[in-house]
Amino acid sequence: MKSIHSQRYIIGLRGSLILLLNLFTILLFAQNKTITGKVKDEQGKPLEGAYIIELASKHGTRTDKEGSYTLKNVAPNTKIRATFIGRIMEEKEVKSNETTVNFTLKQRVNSINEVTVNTGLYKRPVGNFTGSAKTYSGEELKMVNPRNAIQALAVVDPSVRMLQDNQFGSDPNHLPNIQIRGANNLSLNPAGTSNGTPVSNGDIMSSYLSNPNQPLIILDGFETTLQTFYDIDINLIANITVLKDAAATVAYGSKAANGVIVIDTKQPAAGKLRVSYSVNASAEVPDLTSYKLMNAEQLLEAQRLTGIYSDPANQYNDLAKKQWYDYRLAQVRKGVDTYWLSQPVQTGLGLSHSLSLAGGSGPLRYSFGLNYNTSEGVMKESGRDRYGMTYNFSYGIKNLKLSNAIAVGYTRGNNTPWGTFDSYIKLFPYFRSVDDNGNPIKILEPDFNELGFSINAPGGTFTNPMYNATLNVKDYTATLNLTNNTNLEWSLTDDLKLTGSLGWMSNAPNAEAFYPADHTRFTSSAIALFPNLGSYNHTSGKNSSINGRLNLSYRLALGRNTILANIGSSFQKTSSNALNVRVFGIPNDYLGEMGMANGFDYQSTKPSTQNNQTKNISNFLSLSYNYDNRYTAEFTVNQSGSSQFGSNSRFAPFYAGGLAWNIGNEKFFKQNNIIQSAKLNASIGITGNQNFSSDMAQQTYQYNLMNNYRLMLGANTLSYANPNLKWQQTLKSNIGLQLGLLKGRLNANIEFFRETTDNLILPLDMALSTGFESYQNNLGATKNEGYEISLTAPVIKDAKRNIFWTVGINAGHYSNVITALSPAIIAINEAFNKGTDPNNPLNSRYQTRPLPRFEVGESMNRIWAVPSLGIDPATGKEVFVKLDGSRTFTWDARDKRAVADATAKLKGAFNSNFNYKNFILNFIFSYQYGGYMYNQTLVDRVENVDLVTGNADLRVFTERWKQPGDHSSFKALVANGASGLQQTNVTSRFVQKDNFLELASLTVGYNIPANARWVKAARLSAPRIMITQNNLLRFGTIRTERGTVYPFSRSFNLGLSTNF
Amino acid sequence: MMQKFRHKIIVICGLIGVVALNSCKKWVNDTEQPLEVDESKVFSSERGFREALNGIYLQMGAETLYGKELTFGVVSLAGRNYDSVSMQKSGELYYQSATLNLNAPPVKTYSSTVWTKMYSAILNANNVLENIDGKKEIFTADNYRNLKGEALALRAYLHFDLLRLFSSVELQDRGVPYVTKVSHQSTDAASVEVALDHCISDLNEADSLLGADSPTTSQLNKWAVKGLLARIYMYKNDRTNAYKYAAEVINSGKFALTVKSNADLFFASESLFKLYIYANNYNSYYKSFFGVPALIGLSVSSQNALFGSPTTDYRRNFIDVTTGSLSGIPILPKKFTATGANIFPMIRLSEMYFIAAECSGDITQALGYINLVREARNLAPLTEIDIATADKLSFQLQSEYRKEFLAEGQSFFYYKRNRTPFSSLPFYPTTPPVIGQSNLEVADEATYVFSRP
Repeated sequence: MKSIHSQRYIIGLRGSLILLLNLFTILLFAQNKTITGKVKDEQGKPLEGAYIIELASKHGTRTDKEGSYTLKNVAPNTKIRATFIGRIMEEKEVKSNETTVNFTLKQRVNSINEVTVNTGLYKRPVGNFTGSAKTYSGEELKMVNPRNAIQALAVVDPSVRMLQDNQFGSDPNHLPNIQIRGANNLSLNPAGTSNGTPVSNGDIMSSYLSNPNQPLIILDGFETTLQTFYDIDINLIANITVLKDAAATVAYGSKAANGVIVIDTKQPAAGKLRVSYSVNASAEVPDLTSYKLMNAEQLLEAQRLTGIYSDPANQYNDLAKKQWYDYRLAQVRKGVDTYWLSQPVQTGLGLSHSLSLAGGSGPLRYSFGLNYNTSEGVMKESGRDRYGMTYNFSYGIKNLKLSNAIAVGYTRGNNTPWGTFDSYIKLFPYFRSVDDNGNPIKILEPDFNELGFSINAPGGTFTNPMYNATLNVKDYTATLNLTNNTNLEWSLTDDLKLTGSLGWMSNAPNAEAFYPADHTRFTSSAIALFPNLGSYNHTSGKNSSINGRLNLSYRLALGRNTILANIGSSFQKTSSNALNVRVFGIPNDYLGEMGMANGFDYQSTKPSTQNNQTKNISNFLSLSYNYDNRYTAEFTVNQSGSSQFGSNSRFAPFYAGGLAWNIGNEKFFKQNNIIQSAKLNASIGITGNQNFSSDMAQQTYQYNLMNNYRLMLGANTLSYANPNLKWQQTLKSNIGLQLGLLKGRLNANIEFFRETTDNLILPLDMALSTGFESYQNNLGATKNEGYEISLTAPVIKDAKRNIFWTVGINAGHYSNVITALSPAIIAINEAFNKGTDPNNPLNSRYQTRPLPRFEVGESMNRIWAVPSLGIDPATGKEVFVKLDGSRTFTWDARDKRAVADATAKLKGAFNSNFNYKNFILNFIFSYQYGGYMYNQTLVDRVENVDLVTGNADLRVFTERWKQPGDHSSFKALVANGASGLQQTNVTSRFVQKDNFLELASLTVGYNIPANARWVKAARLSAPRIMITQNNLLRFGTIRTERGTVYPFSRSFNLGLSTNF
Repeated sequence: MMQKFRHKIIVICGLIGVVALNSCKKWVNDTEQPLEVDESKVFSSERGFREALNGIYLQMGAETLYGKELTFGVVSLAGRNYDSVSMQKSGELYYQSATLNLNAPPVKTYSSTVWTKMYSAILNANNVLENIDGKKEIFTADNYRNLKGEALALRAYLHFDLLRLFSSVELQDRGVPYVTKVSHQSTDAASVEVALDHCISDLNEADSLLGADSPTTSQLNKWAVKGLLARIYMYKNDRTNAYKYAAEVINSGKFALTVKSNADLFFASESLFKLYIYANNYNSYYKSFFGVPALIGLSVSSQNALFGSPTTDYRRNFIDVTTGSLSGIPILPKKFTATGANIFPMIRLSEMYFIAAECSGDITQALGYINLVREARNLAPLTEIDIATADKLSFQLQSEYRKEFLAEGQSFFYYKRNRTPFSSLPFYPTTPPVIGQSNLEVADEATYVFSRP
């Protein structure tokens, strides 16, 4: 600031000297004149509203629409200055003979000619930034996946991991679960279960509660939900920044620990009206290659071998079962062999249109966007439709700029009436799916009376889930979103800016599920009485949040020193409520209305409501100092307060500092052919996590309305509110090195990080005599360490012939270790092993999947299983190793050991972007190495099978141990006619390496030359065609059925975009 | 000029920041959880305190506590009130309780529930006590004293029953933790005597706070406190004090034995303290217990043995739980079906008479007390010969306790207090077996002490 001042002073001094020297001349020849001129931008477009001032007399004027001005009464040999918001001011000396002075005002670029990092709260030039952040443009992401920004981000950034959900596969209505640099929280749910998947009701708090590792998502400066991110039109995204370390995120204080994803949408730019339009057609094909099921004949034989069709203990039953065998055999002989898997799936087609209009001149700019996106899922009749509208405008007067953005969105996700995919996997192929007329058969086998057999079919009555698709089943979730953000920017001076923002977001989710009485789910229900058949479920909610922010940014340049300061304060209030009503007794499928229902359930189902409120306050101060473009120091402090915390610790400070050293700008750094630039940065700081329920910290009373004491109300307090409950804190440190090598031929970026989380909130068992069983306390700690490397190499850069080829590779690694735990967790670990009698299949059935177990010194993603030596060739039984090293045939939960880690050692992608003239060819392979997985679907499909009720993998028949001497990796079928149930408890035999290489995205594009005749005729500019294929190829070390409830899919996209 | 302007802005912003921050703290602190009520709101009115105390009675009325198991359920089984118990029909918990195998797994599971729920109720009493002193000014009339006295009495009542269940009767043995604060830190258990003294001191304070005229006996009141003191001193074998408090209640003139009526066999007007149990729940509680499939109760032959046959005793009144009539399987004591029977007696006047009889030390006086109760129940008076020796008195009292408190849970504590040998318990299998007498075995590991979690 001072330097500018002194400069001005010097200018002023020089000016006054000139004035003094010319004093007499002026006095003698003083003759004021009128100056006219034009003010333009660098493209030569006129600037309306620019301010022109004569420095000496301080009188001024503004330019008109054409950018012209007239300044009267100007003294000769004076100076005039032109200023315009966001542009560098210009001063010109008016020579005595001049009457026309034109200005060209250049866009203000930040002092260091580099990109800026947008943290969502403030923007900072990269040179003044010491944190770890990575920005991807919307265009870049669209190239990877034109329909799903989250998936694209997970492919391009090694620190973003999208947890694979083997259950829900490619269900378009199931939100993904994302993490940045691993998890900092313990999950008490067994691995692979869908608990912890984000809910889709749009409530900010509840989505964090279900996935406490979810990063903070900021959309245009305000916190938003994962669902909004999931449903956003990718064409609206200007860029996405992933903030990883403390220096980058700490301004968010108590919400920063999981990292931050900052989404900026495209802002209206000046210029004449521009229309852009893009259309994308997509096709999704179910990936059923991983399913190898038994056919009708094989299944029947396998069933027979298991002893389903015999009963040595009871001759009467034995005979009846043999009759059933013969009946089913007759079906097989008739040639019935239904491939059930193909029944509920389809090629899901999708179409999205995105239209935007933008323009503006002078102080007013606006943009308007409409988008529509419909995409079918691979399960028939499932899909997601999205409608969106945005309207932005901004208006600048003097040094004030007002902008407002409105977004309206409606999303409707239809769930398939065809049922879950695994219900088809299970169905026996010797059942016919349709009758001779092509209508689905509801009950797949005739009743035993009809056939004249004396007992029910083994497995009971089988129903056809296809039948439900013929009914008027309703099952959908819809959400209406409304967002309004208002921003006021006040440039007090060129370097001091005050911004106030107010955001309001509201969404109203609404879900309906109607199953008429004829639905197969009511067929086997023995308890249900006729008046109770048919159900209708209604859920609706309303979530809203109000956010306010006040930011002051200040920039000071003194010679080689640059100081940037940002100070801000924000508040947030969220409230959410939900209502769920379920009624029963709707006999007909055309009476799909709640009012048609008979009433509530035979059990007392009652409406349930949820209600949540949170309030947060966050203040931050961030300072950045740069010396000579060589050294940078940054310090940020945040104070956060939230109603979610204990009354003794509602407010907490968070802070972080960082240093950066631009070695490349040092004098000692000699020009050489290997390294051209090098920047080293390091940061450390403490951030918080508040992803937990708000009633942990408040002593509350619950009123018992079902009961009264002598007609008076009674209230109880049931949980111990810990007034000392503290913020979960994560100490993050990060060291990064950025290198420019081989004259721009290779850019390398390496980062090492460590995140230690303290005060992990865990339940602690209390002495029961305190009146509580457990309470929440800050008791655990974890540590995540890792590194991320990315290399990019522009191999060919031939602007002359218009050939560009860039290749890149990135890799991310992290490891996790638990460093402290509450004794309560140990109790939980023990509880998982208790009460399991391995000889009672019903008792220990849940040990068929690895249960979480947390031990200090181990990773939280460890797979705990009993070590296995494989199948004994003599007996076909599995041989286990006990803790003391001895061998046994008996599985015992206490013998479980940490056998492998589910976290991949290395995860990353390599990509190639190739442009030849107008052709584009891009591909990205994503890979994972060094992770293990419990092959749940394999063990469930081959060993944990229940052949009485369901079909299973072909290997049940072909690869299981059959006779002494067989060397098999699958144990023998147990002849268990009563249940047909086979049981394999969690064993190291099914812990498999989970390495894969996947062609995540392949894009072929063509930029239609602008000089093509038809392009000109149609007044198009920059039209482009893109074909993208996702998940086209996959090579993996593990063969697993992917997607049990909903299959995985591969997708193909054809996109067209153009401007008018 | 510019510089000054800038300074001004910074100062103003700073000031705004400081002011904003302070008001923000208030704003953040003031967040409601709509489906729950913050304690500050509950304890902002007299009514809230009342509701918090009602909440404790509701907790006590739970099926696992006084709504069923601590009254006519598990504790009555352990008190050998019923002989119609079978492993198959009644289930393992009830069967093991009846054989006093209190360390059997299902009984252990149950008793840890009792421990948890009783202490949860104590916590609620403590939370009221922690808040009430700071809010003295919001109470009208004597309500501060009455509510505080009631909370103290509740705390003592619950602790005393925990002590009777989970500790031995010997004063020097380990008692139960006497918890007096809301905290996550546990309280250590001292000896039984110390725990009893804690109960006594809480009750003495309650006695001094509570007014003599309680509006209802459905809440703990001054007379219930005195009755409880008599019961505790009796348990402590401090006969002087036991007699003192029993006599105080008897002579207070507030309660009188029912005059020759068998309309209500719980004798509601005799209750110093009775617990209201939500009627719908109550019906299902006792029906599932005495009815199919558990079919627990006192068989007709044992009814004859206990009450005599024929007898004029009002209390010998049993019906079939499904029909309500005398035919069928009449093993349910009729007291459960009277109108308003869901107001379950917790301390009764007759117990005061029995305590007075046991502690008076004078045969004539003792005889007077026992005979008053017998007359009210339509029985001929005893004579001095019947209670001439301590053993005879004890025999008679045991018989009176069994008849009077049938299915009310008190007889278990009577046997425990008197260190009754298991072989002297009702239905103890005799060799050779007596024809017509029910046998209900006592486990080899029998004990009067429930196992604590």
